Amino acid sequence: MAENRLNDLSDEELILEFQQHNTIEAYEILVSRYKNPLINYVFRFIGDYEASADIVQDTMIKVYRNKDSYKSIAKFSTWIYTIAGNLARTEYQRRKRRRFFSISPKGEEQEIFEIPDDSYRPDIITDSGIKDEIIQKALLKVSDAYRDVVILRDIQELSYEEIAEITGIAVGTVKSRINRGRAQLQKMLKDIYKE
Amino acid sequence: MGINEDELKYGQVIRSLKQLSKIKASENFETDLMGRINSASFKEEKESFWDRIFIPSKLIPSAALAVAAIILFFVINVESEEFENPLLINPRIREDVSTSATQIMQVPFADKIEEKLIKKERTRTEVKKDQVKSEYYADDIKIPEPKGTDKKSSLKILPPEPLEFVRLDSIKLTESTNWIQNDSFFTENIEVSGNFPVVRSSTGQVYQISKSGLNFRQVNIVEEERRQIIQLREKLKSLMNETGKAIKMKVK
Repeated sequence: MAENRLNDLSDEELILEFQQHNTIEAYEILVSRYKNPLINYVFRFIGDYEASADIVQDTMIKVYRNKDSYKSIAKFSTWIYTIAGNLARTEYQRRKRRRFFSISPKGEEQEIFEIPDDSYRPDIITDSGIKDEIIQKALLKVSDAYRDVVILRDIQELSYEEIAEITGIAVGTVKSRINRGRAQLQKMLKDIYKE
Repeated sequence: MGINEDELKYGQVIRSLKQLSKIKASENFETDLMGRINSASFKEEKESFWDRIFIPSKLIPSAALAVAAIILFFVINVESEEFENPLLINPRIREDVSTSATQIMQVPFADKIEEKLIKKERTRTEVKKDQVKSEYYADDIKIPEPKGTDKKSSLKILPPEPLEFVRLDSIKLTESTNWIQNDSFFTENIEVSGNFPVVRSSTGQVYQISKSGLNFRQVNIVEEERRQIIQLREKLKSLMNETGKAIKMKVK
């Protein structure tokens, strides 16, 4: 019953409950709510599933340890996305320095999709898995500053204001970067968009 | 609601991105997470202050700087006994102009006190041994007659640059030379050759003294002569003080 009561609470109420009463169930509910969106966001950004899972786990641990640093003036989603985004960018920069990028399998239970070579044809691309891989590859080629905001807007469907808070840049800059990221993607994916 | 023109322009891209499959966490994600949180070592996982400092990305440049500082410290160790203070190094003795005590030697005239006592003079005058001249070559300096005038010392006082004459009391000039020599320290067979004096030693060797060949820092004297020089300097200092007082009395 208590857990049902907690499930009805908003994110901000749950974190407040966790802060004031150290209610672990409130924390677990927050984890269950955000684990998938965050993994989706981080994976689309760095392209490595295993690393994405580690980053999201680190994010949750940071939320657990630093719960008192959250101030209710901001949305909880903004706060947790900020933590995950910072960790993702750190990991991305680390990999960039080491020049390490690998296309790892999405997970143990999912198939490993191989990217077709130049022999693919736009009119026969109906397999969503292949298309996903192509888009993901193209997304990884977009500049990381643009990629971040494009993912938050077009995949995570956050508002411009939320994205501005998460990334720490102005709303106008957010819109500008989103458009540039979309332009780069469109250029790379033009072959599959032929009419 | 207005439709964003940019979103119309990139409609296909936006649709493609929205249609991407959603990546999900593994089934044991929460289990692993709570296991980490509840583990006994969870508290130790908290990054300590020292852990944040001693990470390779921060440690390597700091360590490199420390190693460089240590190397520099040992290379440029000013406290080392092997380190020579250039201000305290004894001048190098030139072998070509150094002679023994029985031969003609040259003493560089580099002492600053003695320089103050000497006035530049080109013409020589003869100074009587038994008279203390009132002509002072520096301000109120009276040079007494040195003792042991029969000594044939090879010590010779060289003029400062440019080649000039030293005049001290109780010293005399020989007729054939422009050198002023002290009876305590006199040389023989001194003559002028051209613009530079020439010194002939008792062994017959002739040394032409030129400005470029002089090295006022080279000293090659025996212990007895060194003591004599020191005594002379002490006397000069005391006489300077006495003379100063005497002149003040005269003025009054």
